[in-house]
Amino acid sequence: MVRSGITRFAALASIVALAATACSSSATTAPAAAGSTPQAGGGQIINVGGVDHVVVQWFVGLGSGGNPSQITVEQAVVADFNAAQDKTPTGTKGMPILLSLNIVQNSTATDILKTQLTAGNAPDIIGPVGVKGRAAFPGQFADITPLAKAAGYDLTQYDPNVLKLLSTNGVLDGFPYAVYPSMIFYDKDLFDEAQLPYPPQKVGDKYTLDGAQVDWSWDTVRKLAMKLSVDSAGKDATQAGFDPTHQVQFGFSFMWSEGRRMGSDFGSGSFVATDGKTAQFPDPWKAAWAWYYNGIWTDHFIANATEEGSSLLASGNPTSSGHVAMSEMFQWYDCCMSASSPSKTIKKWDIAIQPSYNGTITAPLDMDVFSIAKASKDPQDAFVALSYIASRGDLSASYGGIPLVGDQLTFYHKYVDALLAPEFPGNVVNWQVAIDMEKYAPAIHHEASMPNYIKSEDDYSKVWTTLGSKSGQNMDDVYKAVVTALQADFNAAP
Amino acid sequence: MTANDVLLSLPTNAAKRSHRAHQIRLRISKVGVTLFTASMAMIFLLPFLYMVLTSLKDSDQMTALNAPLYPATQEMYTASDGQQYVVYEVPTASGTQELALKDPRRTDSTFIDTKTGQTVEWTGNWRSLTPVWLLSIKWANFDNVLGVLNFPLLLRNTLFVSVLGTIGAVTSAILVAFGFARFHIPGKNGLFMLLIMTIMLPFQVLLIPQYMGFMAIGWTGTLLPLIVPHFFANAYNVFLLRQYFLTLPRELDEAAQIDGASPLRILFSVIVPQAWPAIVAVSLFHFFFSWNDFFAPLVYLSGHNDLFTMTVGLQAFSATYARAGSGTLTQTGALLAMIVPVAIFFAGQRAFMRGVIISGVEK
Amino acid sequence: MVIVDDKQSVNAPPKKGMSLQRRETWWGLAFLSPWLFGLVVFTALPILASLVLSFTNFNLSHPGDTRFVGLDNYARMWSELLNNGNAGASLGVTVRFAIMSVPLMICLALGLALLLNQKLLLGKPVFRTLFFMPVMVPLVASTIVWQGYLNGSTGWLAQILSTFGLPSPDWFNDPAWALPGLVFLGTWGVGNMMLIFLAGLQGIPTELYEAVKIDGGGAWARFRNVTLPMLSPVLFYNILISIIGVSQYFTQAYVLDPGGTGNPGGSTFFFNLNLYKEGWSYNQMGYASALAWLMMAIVVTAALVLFRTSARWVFYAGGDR
Repeated sequence: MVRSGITRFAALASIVALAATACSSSATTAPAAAGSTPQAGGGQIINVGGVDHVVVQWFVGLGSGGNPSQITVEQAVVADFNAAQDKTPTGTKGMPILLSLNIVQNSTATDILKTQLTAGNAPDIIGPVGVKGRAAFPGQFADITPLAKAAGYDLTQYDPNVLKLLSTNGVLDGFPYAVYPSMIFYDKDLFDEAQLPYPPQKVGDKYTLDGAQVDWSWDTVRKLAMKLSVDSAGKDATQAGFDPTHQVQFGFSFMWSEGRRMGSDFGSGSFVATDGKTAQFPDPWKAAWAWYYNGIWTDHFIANATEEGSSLLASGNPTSSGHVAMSEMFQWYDCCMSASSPSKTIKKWDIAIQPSYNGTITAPLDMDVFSIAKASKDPQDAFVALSYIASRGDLSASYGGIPLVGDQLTFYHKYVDALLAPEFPGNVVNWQVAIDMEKYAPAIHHEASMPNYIKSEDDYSKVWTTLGSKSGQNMDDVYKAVVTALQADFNAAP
Repeated sequence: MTANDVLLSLPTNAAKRSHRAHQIRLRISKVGVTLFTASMAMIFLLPFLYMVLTSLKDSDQMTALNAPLYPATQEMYTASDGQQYVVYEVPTASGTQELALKDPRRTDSTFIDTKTGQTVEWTGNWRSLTPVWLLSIKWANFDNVLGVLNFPLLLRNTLFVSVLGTIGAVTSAILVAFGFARFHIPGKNGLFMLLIMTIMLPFQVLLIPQYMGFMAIGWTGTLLPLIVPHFFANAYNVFLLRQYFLTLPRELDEAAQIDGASPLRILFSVIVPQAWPAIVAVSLFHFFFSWNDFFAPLVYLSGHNDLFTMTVGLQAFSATYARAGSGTLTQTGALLAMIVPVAIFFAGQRAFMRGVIISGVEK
Repeated sequence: MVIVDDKQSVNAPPKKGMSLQRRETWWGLAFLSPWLFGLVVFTALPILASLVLSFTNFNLSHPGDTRFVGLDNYARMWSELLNNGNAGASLGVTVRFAIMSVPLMICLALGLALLLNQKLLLGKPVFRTLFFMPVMVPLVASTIVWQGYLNGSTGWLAQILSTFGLPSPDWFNDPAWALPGLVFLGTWGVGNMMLIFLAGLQGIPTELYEAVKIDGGGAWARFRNVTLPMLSPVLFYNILISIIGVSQYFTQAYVLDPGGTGNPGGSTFFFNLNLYKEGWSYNQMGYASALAWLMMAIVVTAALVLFRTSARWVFYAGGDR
């Protein structure tokens, strides 16, 4: 009885202690708990320090921008802008602009923005946002061209092809900002171990395979990757007796890829026909999916889903595991090259050009833009703030993309070197390869809009992920399954 | 024990001997059963040990081949050129040697003798060799996770929600249970059946309208939907407390009533002091429920990282870090997230178990 | 269900005036009022609303376009059930999981309770606490732990099996093994049921066992003729609670695949994952409400079937219930 009394007392005491902790801390949490105060809507005029300001809301979260280091830069940009506005107001109403920052978590950003747009308190500036992030909001973003013209901003400094790629149905609904080209990562140590030459870094260069000069094509990559796939006995995938069930190294991986991007590696295309409502499967994309599927199940140079999730390949981060020789990656993968510094898994690495299919190189390009909501009450003031945001090289550098305006490139290199040098001491990466790849972007962006976007994307992805998890599939059935599912989604589009 | 009594009443020598044999047999079976149960418990709890050891590992150990179960790093050899190489146990003509792998190749490799610094050519498959592992505990994982997971913030939010929610849940359940236990109300049995039925209602049917309701009054993105509904008496808690109140003798409250005490006064000065075991159990129930709840915080707090509770914070952390390949850090996060409820459980387990048993038996 | 009899609980002594009776009613209702308010606001109205919503096309992103669509949502659900669409596939996963998990968990809980009820066992409270403890671990955390523990290469189960030369699947990365992996994970929640069984076991009068012993019955006879019938109400309760539990299964599957598609290969695409996707990702709250009602109907049917058959196998000591 005494003992149970003591335990009871201990339980009560712990609850009281907890209550006390919570109450003492509630003094600080209370405002947050009582409700993150509704954001002042964009276009609102508020009085700060006796002066009326036009509020411009900046919404961050659909793309990058949510890492602590990036937030620091974003806050500095906002502070600098507001300070400058208080000195020399450049708002269109003669009032200073008050830029207000709203950062949300990436995984829920789409939902939050959706709610804000629905509720009628749309933010003004939205970005950085990728093509996919924008595609979920068809018709909700303003045309940048007239805003730029009115502000006297020169859009001709951008490559017209990039502007075209940025446009949705001919409307430039995003402000060009930064691009992230695709390229091939390779682990030099694994090539040395296999005594094979490194992949080419200049468009037009050949590769020496088995003593012969060959084109750097996806078929060459296949043959090369098989030599770089090794089992625990040290046999490679081209040798007799190779045991794919005990594989310890893989020749190739598509780093954090997905179906449409993989398709676009082989050529530009789209799941939507030009009429905007018929589902289709482009021929080069069929070839890409088959290359991937056979690479896993027949030639064993790509990890299947189980292997990719295993610890050997760092639970789904194969490129950084040190057990993959080549990887197709986007520029933004810089962020995640290593989990430790200095890295013990990869030491010497570099990047190579994208392989060609039927003689053509296609390098899918991710990009970040800034958009202005159509519902913005003050788009012209938003554009003023936006052009300032876009001019800050330190900001674009913190996002990790290659800036589209040339003089910011130095910022970029500074950023990448600072990021990677401590992790890979002594390793030099030829970033010119990435810049060269910008020119080989597909004509249609791989994340371009589709009807019923989010559901359509889930549905083709569902089929696509079976390629990595299920052997013995008939590829024609796979293509058919995608088209059928997508057509149903397209038909159901609101 | 009856068998023993019978045996004891027979005072022959043979019986005494057989009695001792019986005692020995009994002791052996006791040890056997206890050992068996202990080994079951060990198997059952082995994942905890996995979590603890993994939370102390360097992430590189997870991707390495032939790594040991305990936290360790590969022994490295620093060559004269300043480069570091992994040391392997290499079988050579002169027995197994510890050599550093300089240039790996498929069928032969160049090693460095760690003692002399001389290069050694070796023929064979280096992948079949075992590296030398040294015990090495990475406490830094905890620093990392505490920072990245923003543990203090999550702890504060979670305590805020669970403590306030517990206060509301317990207070309201006491009031309602008292109403059911001691008052004559027309149609009370029908109401009570209704209460029981709501325990079985699937939460899905309520979820969407509740969410829309909270959205309409602007409470989504705040902690309020996780706290306020609990101030309106959860059926399960009411049921449990009512059952307990009914077992309390009525003489005391009747005496108080004759003295002119109001029902509220009776509740708080007569009933509650007698019902502490059940009240503590209900408090613990709700506290743990609230601490471990996932769906409601996921839905209501989405996008408001500053309000995240422990479970959604941990899930977001694991979704980010599992992808970045740090299986070790997610285990560290899991360990941190379970420390508080498990510690409170151990402190209050007696009261808690009694609560489970009250609620289970009486049904 | 045994509810303690409260016929004696009329508070007022007999033969008091009506006004006292009424006063007591008012006091009682005042005490019930928090629950009554909650019942209306958080239960009754939402149920009604979700039923109404299920006949509309309510979409969070275009609430202005909301209108009644008759049985459209149910028709879509029906076709998804027939053609193994999302609703059908996710219901299939949930049912498969229930078939694997419910009997296993019941047997495990009963087995553990019998073991912990053994006279021969020393240190009972310690073991009871140990077997119960994992119930306290947040599901998100325990899912993460088991994800690591069952990993095909560095997970301990695989390593333990391989020291005996046995192969191990890569549970949560293999579509064929992911559900069994979740069943394994579920064993950490066995403590609740175990305790309830344990309490039931302790409530069985020892005279009944003595009677079997006198009749010459062995351990099996004791279990078959005393333990099982006497435990049947508790068993009934545990089965019901397990079924409700499976119908609400969500957290573990969501932690395994936050994308909500039930990877690997849709093998963990539980019913509520689909409901969450429809309601919160695609904003189809109307359709999601219809899904919720489907689940409600299934659970109610299962409960009714259980109650109906219970007369045949659930033994109540009172005999009159």
